[in-house]
Amino acid sequence: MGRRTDPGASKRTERARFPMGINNGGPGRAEASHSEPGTGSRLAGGRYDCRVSSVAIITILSAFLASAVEFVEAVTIVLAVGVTRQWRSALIGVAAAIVTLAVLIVVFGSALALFVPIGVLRLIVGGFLVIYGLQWLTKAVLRAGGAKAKHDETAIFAANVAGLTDEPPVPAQGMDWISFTVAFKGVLLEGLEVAFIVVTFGASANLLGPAILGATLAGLLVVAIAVIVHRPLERVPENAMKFVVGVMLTGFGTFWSGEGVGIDWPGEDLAILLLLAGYLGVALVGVWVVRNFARRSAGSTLAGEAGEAGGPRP
Amino acid sequence: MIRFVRAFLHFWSDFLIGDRLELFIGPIAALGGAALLVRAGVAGELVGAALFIAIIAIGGLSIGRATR
Repeated sequence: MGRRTDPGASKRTERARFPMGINNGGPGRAEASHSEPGTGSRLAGGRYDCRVSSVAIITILSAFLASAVEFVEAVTIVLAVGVTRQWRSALIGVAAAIVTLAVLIVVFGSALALFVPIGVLRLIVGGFLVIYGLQWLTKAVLRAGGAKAKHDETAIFAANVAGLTDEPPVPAQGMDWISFTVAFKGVLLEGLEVAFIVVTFGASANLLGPAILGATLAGLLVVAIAVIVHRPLERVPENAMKFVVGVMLTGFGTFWSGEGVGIDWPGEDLAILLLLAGYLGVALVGVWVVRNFARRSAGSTLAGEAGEAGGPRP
Repeated sequence: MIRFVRAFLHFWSDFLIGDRLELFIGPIAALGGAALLVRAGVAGELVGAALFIAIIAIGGLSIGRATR
């Protein structure tokens, strides 16, 4: 890396001006002169080229799916608190957690975009995305293959309700600090994962705005559904969503961290699509292998038990 | 203060490492290897492919360990 010229110099200036991924195409800017793999470019006259729009769409989609999964888990906690204790204190706790998360996202997102050189940012953040994406993806593969139990929001809701009923009774007047604390902690902890994905993904792609948009849309949608159905959202395909997000985080993380260590990806943005397709294909094969392995293990266990019990043999 | 620092570190280790250390160390080692290959002048296509395969191998290893 030391031998290379600093490719991030002009980009850093651009990022410093437009940390939210918004460019104004103002005077003196050469057309598409800041084209950057993974972010695309904006042409004169305010038109984005297809690369920036495709990366922006993937960024929004990733933030949306990742956030939706985490918001479903947060909603389960808040519902349990509201139903068993006090809605008002729980909702104040939720509001406090959302404000905390918004401040964290804006402060850390802007700081990363403004002060950290793009090469370093992509190496570190890309590395984190690979680590985090692999965790999501491998868990999703294990769950889809039947080797690991899937998230059961109804059971989690019941466990939360059982835990809250052991607490001291709700005060007749004023704030119920238990409701506040449990709701605040639940939303903050689940939301931190969202914040991590939004900040890292948004800052690396120079698309913090679309990442925040995706997360906000997911939050609004999940809350709206929760208000309507008024019970845990157990029918949300959480594992499928985690699977897709895992592929996206791993794919983009590989691309950006690779750039960070100095890889000149062939085909630039096309390499992202190839990486995503490659990880998706391998992960689907992984599900098939795990499912067959789990089935065979279950079969051999049953056969073993039948043999030990001296049961009838075919 | 010490309790806070400990809780903070525990949160991040749980967040990034969890119960599968290989998924934390593996990608870092793979990126280190990729950096060495780039410095050695190996073509970008080959280094990119090697990084992709290494990450798949790490994921496969972790899944293999979890199913055992």
